[in-house]
Amino acid sequence: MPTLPIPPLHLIVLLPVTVAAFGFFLPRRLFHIVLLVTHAVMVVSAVAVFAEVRWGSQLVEVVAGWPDGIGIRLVADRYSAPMLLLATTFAAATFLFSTRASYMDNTFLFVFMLIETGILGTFLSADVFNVYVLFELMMLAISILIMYKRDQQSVYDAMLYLMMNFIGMAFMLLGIGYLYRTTGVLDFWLLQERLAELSDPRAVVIPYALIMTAVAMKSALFPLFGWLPRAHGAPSAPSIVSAILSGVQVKVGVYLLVRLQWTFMPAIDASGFFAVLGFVTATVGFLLAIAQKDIKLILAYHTVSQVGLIVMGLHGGSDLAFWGGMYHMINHAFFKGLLFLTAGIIIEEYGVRSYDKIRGVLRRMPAVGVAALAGVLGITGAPFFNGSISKYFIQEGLQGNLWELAIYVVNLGTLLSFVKYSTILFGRPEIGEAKQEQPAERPSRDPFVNGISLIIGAVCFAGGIFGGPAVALVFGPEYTATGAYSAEKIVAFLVMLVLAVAAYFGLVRRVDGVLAAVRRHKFSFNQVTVFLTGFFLALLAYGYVTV
Amino acid sequence: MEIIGTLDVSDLAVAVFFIGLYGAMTQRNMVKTIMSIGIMDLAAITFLMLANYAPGARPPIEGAAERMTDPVSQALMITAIVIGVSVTAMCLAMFMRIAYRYGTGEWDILIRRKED
Amino acid sequence: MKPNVNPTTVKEHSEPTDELSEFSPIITRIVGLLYPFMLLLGFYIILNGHYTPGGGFQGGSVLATLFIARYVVYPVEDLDDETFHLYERLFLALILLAPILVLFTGTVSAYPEYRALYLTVMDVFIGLQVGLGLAVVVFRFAFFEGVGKRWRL
Repeated sequence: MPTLPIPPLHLIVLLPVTVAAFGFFLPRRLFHIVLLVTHAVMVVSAVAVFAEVRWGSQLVEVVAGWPDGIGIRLVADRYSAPMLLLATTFAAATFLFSTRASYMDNTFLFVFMLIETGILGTFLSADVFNVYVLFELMMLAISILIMYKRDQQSVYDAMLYLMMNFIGMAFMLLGIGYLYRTTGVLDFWLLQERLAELSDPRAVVIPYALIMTAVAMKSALFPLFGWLPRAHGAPSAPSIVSAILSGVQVKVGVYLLVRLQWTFMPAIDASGFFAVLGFVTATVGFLLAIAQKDIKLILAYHTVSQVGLIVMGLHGGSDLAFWGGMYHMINHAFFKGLLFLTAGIIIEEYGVRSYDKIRGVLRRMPAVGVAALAGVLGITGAPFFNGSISKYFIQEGLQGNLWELAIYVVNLGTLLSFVKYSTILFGRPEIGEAKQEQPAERPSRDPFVNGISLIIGAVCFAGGIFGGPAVALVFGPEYTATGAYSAEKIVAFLVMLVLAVAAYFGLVRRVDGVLAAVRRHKFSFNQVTVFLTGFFLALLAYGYVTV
Repeated sequence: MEIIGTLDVSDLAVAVFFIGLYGAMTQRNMVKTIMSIGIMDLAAITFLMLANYAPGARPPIEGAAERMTDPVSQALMITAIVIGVSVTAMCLAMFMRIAYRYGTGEWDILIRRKED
Repeated sequence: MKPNVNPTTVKEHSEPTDELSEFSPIITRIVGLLYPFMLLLGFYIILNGHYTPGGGFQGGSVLATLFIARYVVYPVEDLDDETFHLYERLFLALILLAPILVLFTGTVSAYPEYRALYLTVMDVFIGLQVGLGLAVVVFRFAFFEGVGKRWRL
């Protein structure tokens, strides 16, 4: 390996926000160029950090040279370095995707870079309080982006998002207080050491429940996922915001779920709880996705479902399933990001958001259509696409009668909801009024749109073809994924596809009344708070019963 | 009755936290829910401030003393206070926007008016 | 869809002829007397934050009350909050840049005798940024009354 100079980790975190703070005074064109360079620099430094961690040793940096335990510590190890690489590449791709869009003014870009800082910082930070601060930063920035177009519906969405997350963060702060009082440290590694020495592990059940409630809310587990569709599927948010939120930002929560579980392992192990919860989340997610009409909302609810699957894999208790879950995190970033980006283009082109009004994307916009199809095939786990590999790993890892059945249920549900989604791709484009209305917008579209969609689509395909080697390259452990290409898997997928199509046309389309009722039902803020409290009490009870 | 003697100020802070949570669960007025969450946040801050409190300790400022209060929790909490202020301001700004548009401050009425 | 409905409580304040917003001589006088002391207190807290209680955020909040007091005395929207916003951003950029250039390179740890200087400079930056920022927040809230179109994110 040719060695790249490794940048200090704090610079990777602070570079985006510093550049954005100064670039705010620049004219727009210049600012774009500066940000382009910044993104390139960040991708290169992330590659350098990743290479060092993967083939060298893990990187630890105590900021400003203070002694360990006092200074802020940043750590890139083999879990966080791939995530860092993913986040920087993904941010660069989404930025390139819409450099010419009208909403990309200086304020938007500043807030966008703030989110990026938050994501990178959370992946690298090694103590709970830093995570808390960065979560709050991301929360504020995201709520600004949700209502960026300033219509009234989105202000309501943003307010609900902000207040729900604010409650979650208050839980986390109290949990940090308990933790600090019990152990006296907040650093993940030191915390783990102290927790192992603890005479009574029950003392950390309360802080564990408080902090995990907040993190579970961030990773949108059942029943706390109410904010996610509002944020990710918000009609007013530009599609690149949806893409980066769904692709990377929600993974921050999932990543921390694993990291904190690992930290608390000497005292408490609630993996079983989270695995079951993951299954429930996955099921409820796709059921709600089937009920939606707005294509961005279908995708948003689908993120909930996939997060459930990832959590199931990560907490399933087997190594294979764990790495499958990690790989699925990366895969999900690519195909869901791709689907959101293409959905944004499709909505722009057709001028409508409802899935039954859009037809024939493949004919009208072949490149975007093909890319979206690749995304759909990836997410449904079609053979030779990346989703199939990670789902295969999770399934193999969780082999056992009940869990395997659970995965089949989730897969079938995913297929079912994407049969619904992919009806927009086929058919004959209607010559609607939308087409004549907005011919003026066409020239403003970016030159990179088609290229980037197709590249991400190709990544989805490559991630499937080179599944086993990709996992080995990114994470280290070597597993063979040949089973995923076996004839029985392909047949199983085809059978499920036929089943899903049959179920869609035979069943789902006939219960429109039920779906409409589900779609219209909204939980009020008070009910959401009750759910949050219920989750906290359940986790507390589980902790006291098992410890 | 014995248990009352063992309680201290940080238990009071926890109690205040859950009072705030109760408010967030039951209040139907938006401003009251924002206030409830603010109470929760401040209770958590109070709790952390008292985390390693020792009676008679000096604040950790210039000069040495036998017992200093824990500077870490104070340094962390000034950050948390700043964050709490900004998030509350943001919530209130959004509330103003919604209240002007829909002419109500109640969650239920707001949901009904949004559907019209 | 309902038309814009203004809550009646807010509307009362929006008229400049309202009793509350008349220029009261008592308030004007008192605030005028207190004005230099508030300024002094704000800068005192900012400049003494490095080893004693105080610091940028606290002092900045006190500085922000200057602008609020001015609004209480003379509630007219002639303040240009865009300029405030611009300077606030500038200080934010400086706050980000100073640690990157000075603190994280290890310079402060290497020269402990300059630590107080560094902290004071940072406190001044933070104080001015917080003061301007809070002033902008308050003005946005205050000017929102009945004006609406001045609202920006």
